[in-house]
Amino acid sequence: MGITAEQIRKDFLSIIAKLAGKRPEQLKDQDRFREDLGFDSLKSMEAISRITETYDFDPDLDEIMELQTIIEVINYLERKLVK
Amino acid sequence: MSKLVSDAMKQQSTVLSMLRRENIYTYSLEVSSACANRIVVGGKERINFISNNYLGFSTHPEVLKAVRKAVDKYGLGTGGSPMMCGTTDLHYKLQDKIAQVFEREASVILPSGYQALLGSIQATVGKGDVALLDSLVHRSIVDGVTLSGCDKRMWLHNDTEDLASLLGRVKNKYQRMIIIVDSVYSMDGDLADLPELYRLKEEHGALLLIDEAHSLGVLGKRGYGLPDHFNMMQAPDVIAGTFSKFAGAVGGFVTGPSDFIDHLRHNSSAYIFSASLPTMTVAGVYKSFELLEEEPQWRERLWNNIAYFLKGLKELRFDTGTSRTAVVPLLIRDQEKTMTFNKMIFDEGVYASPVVYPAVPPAEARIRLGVMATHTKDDLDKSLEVFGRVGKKLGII
Repeated sequence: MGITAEQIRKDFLSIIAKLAGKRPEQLKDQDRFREDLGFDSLKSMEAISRITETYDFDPDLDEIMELQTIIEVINYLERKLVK
Repeated sequence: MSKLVSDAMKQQSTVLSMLRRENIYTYSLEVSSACANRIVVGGKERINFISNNYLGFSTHPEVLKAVRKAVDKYGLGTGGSPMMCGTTDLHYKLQDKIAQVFEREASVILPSGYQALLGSIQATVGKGDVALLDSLVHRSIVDGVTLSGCDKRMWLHNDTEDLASLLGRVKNKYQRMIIIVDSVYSMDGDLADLPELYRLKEEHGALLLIDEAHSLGVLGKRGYGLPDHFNMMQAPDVIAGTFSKFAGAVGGFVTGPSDFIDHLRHNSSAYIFSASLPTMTVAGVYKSFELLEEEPQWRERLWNNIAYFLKGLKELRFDTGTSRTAVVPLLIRDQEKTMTFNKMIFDEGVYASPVVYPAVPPAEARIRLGVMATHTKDDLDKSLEVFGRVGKKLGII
């Protein structure tokens, strides 16, 4: 069974909430990683590593580092992972 | 703007121009006195809460005597890198002292704490290895890991459960794993959990490197930092640190097994390709180490001041986070108010450091205060009175 969009959203919010020190329900789709959640480059790279571990999928670094908000990354992961 | 400022840099330059225009920019102001409990900034004496000179040793008469004696004999600098003519008898003497303090076989001196972290990491790990960093480690550690070429993973600040989980996930993917922490965190003043870190590194076969920057001279029965505080001198595999805090000087060190230190000397670019620490500084730092033993009253005074000051801030209802050491954050959690608060206390005669994004997330904007052993009760009382008045005016407390 393939990964669903709902599962991606749940997994991703869980990863970001943990790294941001928040609960998943406190996150908003339009939250920006740097300005709103205080992610620095170290935390951003760790988020990518945890996505890689969860889905056994290596995102294109140039592509994913361009994305600024939670919804942008969720949409990106859905495009790449949902068959 | 000059053509050297790229489009990416222009946004920051615009913000800096605005802060200067609004007269709330207080970074790198002109200092025209020694770094004592009072400091002359912009031509006016102010109470000094901006330094890391926690014990006040940079102006201790015995330290200055040692420095003067050394400068008369050795001159301004060594005139070379450590591998050339830059390792004097006093450098060897200080290296032996550091190894003795931390109960290690050997140590090496580098020109700065930043280089000590670069050198210690570069000498320990490389391609095929992984460094596991606490999310709040000093920038020198992040840069050291990048320089080393090993992979980099991060675990949540002081969350050893997250570290344990990470160790379990990566242990079969790499040749070596190294856990790296600050003993005391530079922006929050809290401690690393050395007993738990030691347990985890033993369980998973990892190495442990600690940065003693804000801990040496402050923590421990003898002032020998986090390992002394927990009575676990042998827990870390490698200890690095700086002389810029406990001695209020400059320079750094790495200490560990003699074969490792020898390897560092021959392979660390941070050590090899830089002129060595001036001998006069080495002499002052050596005396500072002696003062840790000879005059423990400075550490006692520091801890009395920390307790008194933290109590006063809490009574005023300031949020000081998890601080347990000489680094005390006043968490304001609003960038504009942080800059304004800092400018207002500066105008009232207190010099401190505003910390805003990108150094910390915007919601964690704070004033960073460095308590000193040489602060008088009058210094602390006056500062508390100013903080209380300004805090109320801005609606912070």
